[in-house]
Amino acid sequence: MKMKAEKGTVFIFVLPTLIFLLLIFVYPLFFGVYLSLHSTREGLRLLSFVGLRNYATVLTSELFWWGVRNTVIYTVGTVGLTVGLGLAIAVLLNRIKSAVWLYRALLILPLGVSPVVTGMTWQMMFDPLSGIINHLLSLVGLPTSLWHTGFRTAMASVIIIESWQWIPFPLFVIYAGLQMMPQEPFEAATIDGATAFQQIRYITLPLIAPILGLATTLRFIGAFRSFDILYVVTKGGPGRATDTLILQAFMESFSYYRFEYGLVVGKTMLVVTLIVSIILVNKLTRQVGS
Amino acid sequence: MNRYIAQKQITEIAKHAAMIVICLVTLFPILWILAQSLKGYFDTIAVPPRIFFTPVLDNFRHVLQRRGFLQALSDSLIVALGSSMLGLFLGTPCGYALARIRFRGSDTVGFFLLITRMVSPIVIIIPLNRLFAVFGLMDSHTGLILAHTFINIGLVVWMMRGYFGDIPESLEEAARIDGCSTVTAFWRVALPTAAPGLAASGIFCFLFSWNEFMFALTLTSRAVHTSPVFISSEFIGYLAVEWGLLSASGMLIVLPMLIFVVAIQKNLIRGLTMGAVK
Amino acid sequence: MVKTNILKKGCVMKRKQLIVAGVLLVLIAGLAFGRGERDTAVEVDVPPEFAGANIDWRQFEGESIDVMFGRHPWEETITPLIPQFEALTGIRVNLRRVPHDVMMVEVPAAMAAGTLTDDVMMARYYDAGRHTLEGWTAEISGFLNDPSLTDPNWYNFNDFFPGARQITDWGAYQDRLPITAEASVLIYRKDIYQELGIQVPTTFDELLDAARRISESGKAFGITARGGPANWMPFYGMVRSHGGEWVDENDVIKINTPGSVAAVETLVELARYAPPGITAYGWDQINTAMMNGSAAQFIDASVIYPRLQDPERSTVVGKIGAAPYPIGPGGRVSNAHFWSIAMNARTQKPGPSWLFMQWATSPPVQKQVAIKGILPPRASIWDDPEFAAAYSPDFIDAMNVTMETAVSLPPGGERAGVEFISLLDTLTRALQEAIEGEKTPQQAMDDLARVWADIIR
Repeated sequence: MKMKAEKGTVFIFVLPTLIFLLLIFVYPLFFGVYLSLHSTREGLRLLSFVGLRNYATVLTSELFWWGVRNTVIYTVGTVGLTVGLGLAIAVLLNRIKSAVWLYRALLILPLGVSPVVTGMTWQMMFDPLSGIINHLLSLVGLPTSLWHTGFRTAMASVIIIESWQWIPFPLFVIYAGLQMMPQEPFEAATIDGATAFQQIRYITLPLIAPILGLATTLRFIGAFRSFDILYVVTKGGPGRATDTLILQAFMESFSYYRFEYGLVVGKTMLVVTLIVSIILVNKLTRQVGS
Repeated sequence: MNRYIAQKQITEIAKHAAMIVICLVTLFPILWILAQSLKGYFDTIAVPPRIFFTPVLDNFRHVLQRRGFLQALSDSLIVALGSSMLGLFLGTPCGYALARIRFRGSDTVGFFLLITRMVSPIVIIIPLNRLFAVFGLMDSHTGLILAHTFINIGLVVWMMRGYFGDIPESLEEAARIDGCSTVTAFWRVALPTAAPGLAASGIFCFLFSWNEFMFALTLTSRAVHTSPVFISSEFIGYLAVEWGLLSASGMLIVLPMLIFVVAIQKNLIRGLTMGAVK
Repeated sequence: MVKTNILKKGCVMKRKQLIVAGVLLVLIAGLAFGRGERDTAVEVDVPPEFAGANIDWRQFEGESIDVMFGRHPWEETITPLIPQFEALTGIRVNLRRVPHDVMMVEVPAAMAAGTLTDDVMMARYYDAGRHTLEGWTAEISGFLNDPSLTDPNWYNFNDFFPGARQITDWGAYQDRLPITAEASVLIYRKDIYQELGIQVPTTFDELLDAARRISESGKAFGITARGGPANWMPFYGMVRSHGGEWVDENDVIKINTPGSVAAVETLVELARYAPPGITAYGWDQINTAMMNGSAAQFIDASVIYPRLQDPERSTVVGKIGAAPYPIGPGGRVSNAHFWSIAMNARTQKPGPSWLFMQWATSPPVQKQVAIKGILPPRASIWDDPEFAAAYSPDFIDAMNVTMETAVSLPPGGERAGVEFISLLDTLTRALQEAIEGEKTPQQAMDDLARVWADIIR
């Protein structure tokens, strides 16, 4: 039901945005490709052309693949935790009749907290010696943990932090989906004597599958590029326990002045994001949009 | 029958109990940072941590007297307002065009804008650094405003596209029959009707810009110092952990955003899903 | 219908505008309030020693320079003296202080972009390799040798300790001057030693034994140590004390030689008696662990000492003792550290900037700073009775003994010097892997040596 505009009018509307993106996104993107073909060995002023050597070096390095491993764990972990818990809480919230407004107002709060503050707060709470969490655990007789400072526990800890921040997002997306759902199948199921669990399993889930897919995709994109919390809490440590691609790219570029590494990693991440989003977004816009 | 009602009540209570526990877990970090911000210095470094203590306002007083903190707040405010306004200025007409005007390549434009929301800033941050240096935009409000506008523009376009799509077209058609051009119809009729959408998108941009870290960390250094960067470095490396001051400034930075988030609850989800969920 | 809607929204917008306006007002008021602290001009006396310099201190009268300091006790101490400089030279100083992390990430980024506007800045010497490679810092030998700008007899460059002189040309050219002298010493809780009957350790073996006994007693953790940010700094002293090295002047990697690995073994053993979570410990945390009484000793930077005796910050005032750095198989080799100041290569005011650098590192100023608790890099001040009187005797004694043999970080060869920060960061991570028991010390260092070889190839 779109109208036809006068010839050329559309440019007035669309062009400013496109020109802006051309300057701040497309041009840097290609300039970045050009820079990534150079070496900074002689300093940032004396770049030397090395062709695809940076790509070969990075993509065959142990460090890069370790970063890939950590990125996958981090992404899968946070997406699973946020969508899983989000779904559970949304279903529960949907079945509550009173005080919903209050729960909604409280549950959404983490989305407003700046990730940097989130990271620092949890760092404080996770401190193995002076943190509140170990203290509470020991008060009730549970084992304590090294949390983000332990090689084996650091990844789980940052996943918990990232998840705390982002659970409200899938939660409310799914909740919105639940609210839009037709009531008839449930009424019929109740009459047939289906249990609550059966209703969720056989009616709710299939109905909100597209919404669930949307939440998962968007969380994937968010987790894949997550930086703030990791940078603030562990900077990739201890050792390289939480060293993800984006942290590597950042540290190499801005701490070690070897920006070719950062560029190569960045380009690789861009390609992955593009592939994933083209597949998923196309699928989803068809499902959700209709 | 009575048993049925009793059972129903019990499950209802159980649901609320579960919900209250969930809310407490969710709120705990926010409550803890609030508690830390109200502690005196010796309470903040105590081992084990003190749950009960005499609250004092010293931390807030110190932080509010720090020039750096006030500068960080004003820098954040300038950048967030600037980038929100620029984002709305550029993105609203584009969103309108995508919602209303049939033109070739509109799907491509929409998808391209989605991409900008998906890539990490790291993809362009290094070349952007060099470009900004050439144009004198490093460490300036303008530079960071441009970078934050990049983050927000896709959001504005997609959100506004959704809002314009919700407005009945009849109004603009009437206006156009009266002889208005598309531009006038947009300006006079569509835009005022979509004012709540503009406000929601604007608050959104503000929130993202206020909390943004990576661009702020690398594109600015001294003259401009937004609050996330301030808090990530200000209280570190100074011979002792300053958890009280850290928490107090954290509280002050976060509080307005908490209010925003509750205020725009419904739009928040719509925005985060780029208008896919209403 | 639509019209009323628009009207309503108009009202809403007005309310919102009001709120925004209100927030803005509060902020502006806050800013105005915050800026009220600007000090008014005070008459200052210039110490008479400056008349002894045969240069014209007032040759740049009326100019102004921008100076950037990182937060550090030195900065706290010299800042009140800056009016003296302004009175002496007639040059106005615009001072900015930035947190440590800003100095390490954002300042280099600004230098790389050419947007750093400060004329003089506080700097770490081991950045000199990169700074000089990129040409970010100005060469200073010309100023040092210009008789109109520097009186060599009065300034007395050779008064700096040899180690301090060495860091002035750690990079490709001479670009910085030392402002402090620090070294790792042993800091301990006298009361806990006494209760447990522990003799002050003189060797690493005795230190380990003391740490074990304290931990086992349950009175406190036996030691606290940096396991996180900059853990390499105190670690270098341990390496040298165990006969090891990082990298030699020909860029030959020595980090996995027996001496270096032995140092890692000692560190790992010490870490067993440290509070849980030391892989996140920087000097903030080790210091806090002492100040709240949870740990009983550390071997780390001497600059922390005065803070432990500050009743506003510390719960252990009066219970702190200091001793020389412990002796290892390779002797007593503590890690020295000299903070420095350098000139921005892009400065438009080299003359005034140089006068400031010279003033800040001159004998009279360094003495005034030293008396307030900052150890100076000039040998002459250490012999000054006024200086010795300002510290507790055990601390001065500990420092004197330690400084005799303390060393600063190795400049390495051409490549290692330039990639130093990268080497340090990978070292931090390797040490954490060893502390966490993920790798044996030998494994961790062997792996690190391969990583280093890639970096400095």
